[in-house]
Amino acid sequence: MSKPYIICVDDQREVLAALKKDLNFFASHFRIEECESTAEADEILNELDADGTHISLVVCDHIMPGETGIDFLARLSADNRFVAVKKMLLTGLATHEDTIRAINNASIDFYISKPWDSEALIHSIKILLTRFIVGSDLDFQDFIPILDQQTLYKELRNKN
Amino acid sequence: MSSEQDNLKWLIDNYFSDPNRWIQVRAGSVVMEQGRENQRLYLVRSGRLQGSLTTEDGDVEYVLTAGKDNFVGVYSFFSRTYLSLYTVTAVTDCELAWIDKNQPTIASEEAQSIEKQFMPVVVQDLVSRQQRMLEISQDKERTFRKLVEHQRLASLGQMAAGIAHELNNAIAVLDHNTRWLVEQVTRRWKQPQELAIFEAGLLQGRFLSTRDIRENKRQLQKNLKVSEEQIALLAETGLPRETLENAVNKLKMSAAEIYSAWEMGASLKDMLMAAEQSAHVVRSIKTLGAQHKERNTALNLNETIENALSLLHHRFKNIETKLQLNPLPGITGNIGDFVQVWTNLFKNALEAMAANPLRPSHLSISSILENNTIRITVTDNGPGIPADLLPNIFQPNVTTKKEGLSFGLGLGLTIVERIVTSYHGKIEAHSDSGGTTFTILIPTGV
Repeated sequence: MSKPYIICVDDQREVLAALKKDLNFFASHFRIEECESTAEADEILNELDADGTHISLVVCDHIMPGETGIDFLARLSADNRFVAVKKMLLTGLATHEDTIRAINNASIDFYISKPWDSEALIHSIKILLTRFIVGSDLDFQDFIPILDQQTLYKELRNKN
Repeated sequence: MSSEQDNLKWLIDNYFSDPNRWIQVRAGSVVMEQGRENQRLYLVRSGRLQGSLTTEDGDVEYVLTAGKDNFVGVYSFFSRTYLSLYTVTAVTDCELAWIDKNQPTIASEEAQSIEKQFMPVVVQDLVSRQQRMLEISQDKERTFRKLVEHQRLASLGQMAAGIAHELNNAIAVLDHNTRWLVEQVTRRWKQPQELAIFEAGLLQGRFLSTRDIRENKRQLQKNLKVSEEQIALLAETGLPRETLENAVNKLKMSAAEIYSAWEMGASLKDMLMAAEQSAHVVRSIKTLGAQHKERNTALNLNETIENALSLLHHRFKNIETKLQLNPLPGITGNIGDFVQVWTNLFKNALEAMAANPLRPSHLSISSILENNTIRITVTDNGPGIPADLLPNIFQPNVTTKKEGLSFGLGLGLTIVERIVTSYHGKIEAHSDSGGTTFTILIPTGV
């Protein structure tokens, strides 16, 4: 079985590189794919979906040339194929209105502002990935080292 | 003829037609003085007069002007106080006709008293005073608002300067220590090949796009016999296939080692660029806050335009530039201020035009003197500013640029507007899909 994917979208390569260093924590169990635009992310998402590969999480910047992160994540939320994908917004600048829209329309699971704290980022992603794994047809036993134990316990109890 | 004009004609013919009561007044002489006795009602036969009021604070407000067929002294005459409200001075040489308080009523069909006959004149006088007062209060309101705006910008500038100072220290620490790390890491590699990989990261940085990296992975998979994870790491470096093959097969370096050496270089490069970018941000913020610059140089705006062009000459290589600089009078100011205005505008234009690489780039710059105002236009044929952004382009943080570490700060036009305003000038932008024109108006009196 191929590893589930984590997709990162940010138009700045330097930021992607910094983000990737943190996400390396999950590299043992997840494939990390980077994109410089939402259009590029669309291509990857379509490809992976066509192959039946699991997509666990999208981490996306907000302000980019072209489509904004919130618009992109809202589009994913409205797409049946990607409803289950966890969505995280990572941004240096978002207005109050952006934030409201993010919560109301984009079903964003987590919001992190730049510059971010590595430990906090990893912890939040652990929680999101745990929820994703439990909600999917994957066996959580295979992912134990990178899951958040508390969340896992809670999610499993709710599920049963 | 309206009845009003009929009435005026009747008044003039009957009350003001005696040449013995016509007087000549030289320009500059005072006809009546505020608070002093005035027993006369004047009709202006020719010339122009001005009424002014000195307030308790000693400010002088101009409250009326009177020309041919206007009356002066209406209040003192008809209020029967015979005291003048204003000081009335002849602006040009004038001829005035007058009557005084001993003037007998000349009977007419419609009205028996002089007050009734002059009623339309009195009403007209009241109305124009009221209008003038309204204008004065509106003027004051506008001046007050401008003052508040200036104050707001000034305190924003001071705050910006303070922040800039604080950040400079932090940036200096990051920049110097990064440079030191570069030296140290450079010395520590044992193998020359490791050093070469590190230096590739340091010098070239992340030149591959994420798309390129995926393509690179596909290529490397055909040539290198290592796992998919290892290919992913190697692909990111963008190192030539031979270098990678050599490192893996001959030097027995693991993919993780190669990637780590390259990534150290690339990360240090990112840090240096980030420090440089931050320093650039701080410089821009400082300019925003700078107010203490000397402005005592006689300068010609055409020269400042040429200065800015020569500063940016390396970026004008493939740009067709049309200059139409007409002779301009000198103004007093700071050369750096204007060079900065033009460089910011030219840079914006260049970057806008670069966004449309298929269309040949045309930039036209013109200067001309019109009615004591210097008008300078900068027109590009870029894709234009989106209509929803256009009203806000002079606000900080508004940018159309966002690319790598050279992303726009959104301060360029804010700085331009501040400088232009500080010379009592104006800046306007017009933009559509065919391009953008900035028009700068600078009064020559500054």
